[in-house]
Amino acid sequence: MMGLVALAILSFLGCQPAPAPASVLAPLDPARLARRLSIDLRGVLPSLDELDMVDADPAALDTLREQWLADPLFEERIVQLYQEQWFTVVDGFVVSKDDYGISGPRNYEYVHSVGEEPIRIIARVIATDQAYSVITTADWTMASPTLAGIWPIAYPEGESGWQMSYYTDGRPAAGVLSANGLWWRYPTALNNNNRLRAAAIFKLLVCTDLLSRPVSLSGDVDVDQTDPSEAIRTDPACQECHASIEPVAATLFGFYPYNDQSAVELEYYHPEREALGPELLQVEPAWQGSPVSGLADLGLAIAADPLFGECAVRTIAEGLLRRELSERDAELLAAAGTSFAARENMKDAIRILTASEAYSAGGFTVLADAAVVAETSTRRMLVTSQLRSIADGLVGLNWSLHEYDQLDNDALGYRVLGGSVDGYDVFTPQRRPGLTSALTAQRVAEVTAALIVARDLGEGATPQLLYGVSAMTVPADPAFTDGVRAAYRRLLAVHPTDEDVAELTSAWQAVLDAGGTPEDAWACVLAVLLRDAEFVTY
Amino acid sequence: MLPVFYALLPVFYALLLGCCPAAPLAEAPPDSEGEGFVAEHRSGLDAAGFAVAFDAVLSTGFPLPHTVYADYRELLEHGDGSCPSAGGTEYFDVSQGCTTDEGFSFRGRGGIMVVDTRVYTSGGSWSGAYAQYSNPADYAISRPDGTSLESGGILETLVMQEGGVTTWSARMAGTFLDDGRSDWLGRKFSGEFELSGSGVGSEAEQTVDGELSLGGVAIGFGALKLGPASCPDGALGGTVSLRQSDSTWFELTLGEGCGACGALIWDGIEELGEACVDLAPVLDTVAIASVL
Repeated sequence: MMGLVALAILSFLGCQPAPAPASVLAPLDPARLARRLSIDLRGVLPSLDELDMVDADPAALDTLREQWLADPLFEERIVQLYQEQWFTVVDGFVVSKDDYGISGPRNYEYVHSVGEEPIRIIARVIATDQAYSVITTADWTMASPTLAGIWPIAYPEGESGWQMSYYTDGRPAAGVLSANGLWWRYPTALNNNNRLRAAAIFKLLVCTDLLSRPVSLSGDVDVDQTDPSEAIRTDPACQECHASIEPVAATLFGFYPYNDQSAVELEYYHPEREALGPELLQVEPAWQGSPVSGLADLGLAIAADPLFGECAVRTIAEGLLRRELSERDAELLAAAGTSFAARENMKDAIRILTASEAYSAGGFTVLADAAVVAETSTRRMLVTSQLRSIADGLVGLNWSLHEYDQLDNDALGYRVLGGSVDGYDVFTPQRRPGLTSALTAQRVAEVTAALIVARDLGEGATPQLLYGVSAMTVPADPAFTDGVRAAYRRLLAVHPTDEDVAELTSAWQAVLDAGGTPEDAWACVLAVLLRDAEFVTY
Repeated sequence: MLPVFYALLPVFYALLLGCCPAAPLAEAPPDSEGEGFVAEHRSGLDAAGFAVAFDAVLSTGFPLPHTVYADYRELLEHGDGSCPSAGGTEYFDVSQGCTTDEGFSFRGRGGIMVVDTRVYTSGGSWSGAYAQYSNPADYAISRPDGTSLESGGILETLVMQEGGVTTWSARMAGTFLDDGRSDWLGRKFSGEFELSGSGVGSEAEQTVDGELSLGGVAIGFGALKLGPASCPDGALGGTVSLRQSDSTWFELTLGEGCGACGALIWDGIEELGEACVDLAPVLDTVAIASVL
């Protein structure tokens, strides 16, 4: 009403509303936008049918979005997204598989089971449309058969893979806060008294990085004479952070170990140690000044904190936009946050985010200035985790060495080299191409191409990418060009030009002329496409 | 029958704790003046229920390092020289584990260090100290039947005699479990406590401090003072406590003099009248801890 009055006054005075500013962002075409969305929500490329749908009707992307949000692959993609921000899937923990007597080459399976536990709780909540607050209040966890075999967990009989399960040691219902996997990744030294864990809670759940908070230390503090415990409680500089940290740390002593290397100490919850928190830290448990009675109560308090929902939306926005957020994203985040808050449903936020101009951006108009360019992502680089899932979706790629998935570890493999995070030294996915990421992508391309050819051109094969072609198909056959065009479009989500087709045909022929087989030639064509800039970016 | 009874006891007291109205969690945050909140709910147990629950925790005995030492030594007898390479000592370090031909597996680092400075007199008495400790105890020893002793923590015992006065102490910290046993060790010990005592015969007195859990139910002792000779059925003072599943605690402050009864309070705010507990398992530790 006030706006209408204002407009009326302005009109009377002869003023006209300023025209809406032209957008500086040019959107991706529908097919490539569908490719982006499919990679972000499912970790795989869209099918040719799905590309045809959006080509025929761009509005069909909304339908596809809903289908993809319900796809089982969406839950796996959320695991990937949260790994990039929670860093729990690392290559080793203090307790090794040997401590559990797990024989054989099962270290990769073991560390991934431990590290994925907390983020699989989150992924299950999001994928099944549960209220997001369940991640800090659930009385269940997610467990693999490996975890169920080593921890006090009741795993559903007759099932396999990751399943909703229950700890049997009476630990509080606090979702991820009660997950061994979280605290094994964020351990505490005995005299640290869970402070580092408290800082992790602030960072992961309310996006507050206390460890990066600038603090001005007083020159009066004599580090040789001052009791650190006393300083933490009384020095104003120390209190800048510890006023928040200590009361939260005081809730975590059910996970406090007397032996921080012992499997049996680290796998159980210790209810008798809860009382140690207030005793050692000399504070009562609280969340941001509000008393809590224990860990379960902490989970409820965090879930009720407005920062929790805001952080949840920020986390998913960073994952989808593949960049750091800036002030320019404030309006988008507010809209996504409002949608999320209505039902605490993360998919509601994802719908807003992936329908936004920022998400759809594929380039800039002439109006874009340097600041906008710096803070916008119009093209995202595929990192190792995405290359892996795409290749797996295309041809079931399983690049393993001694049971290690080579694209998902750094002990023997190429996870960081290919641009993903490791959680200890690398915390941000690679945003721009580099030598090692290019080499990794090249190798993935070559292997994937070879596997596709073996599958699609083998005897009695049912092609899934190289449609209508066989080892006998030659460039003179219309089927050859059709096959090239279909593969091009499937992999890059664009229709090739005649020049593109001609170049790929020349590459095919060159391999044959050099003594290669038709299979080698087709592998070359596919490898070229899989190394193309349009493929390794999205 | 008896093992079945003991096996079912945890179920019994778990049901007892669980079947009572679950204490809802604390509600309103403090007011703007920063005063502490007041829980707006009652405790889940009355005085009688508290006593039953507390006694059930110690029904299979009070934890002592001596039990773990004995269990460890018995299992070490099944080593075969190459596994766990004990070399005749009570120490082993097998990071990747090994299995004997008999089927016993050893993993981790285990050992009992003995410090013996006793000097015997011609009359057979001695003076000095005898200490045993496992620090850290970080191992798992499995039997062919799949059960195992798992240790993760610290065990310490000490007996000293000087000038005719005996003093002793025992400490456990960490987690210890042998799922092949039916006593307290089979229910998983977790926590930290220490007992210390002095005197002999009618003069012996012992104090117990700390918190522990058996089978996931936590209890605590606050300067619990025992004198079996002068007070054979109770304690001379101190507190005992019991944790409820919502992380609140009951605390029983024993009356002055000798007894096993006292004033019970829940969460520091709700008085529940008098309760009485069975301290016999705790009293039994005096005779064990005070001798070699």
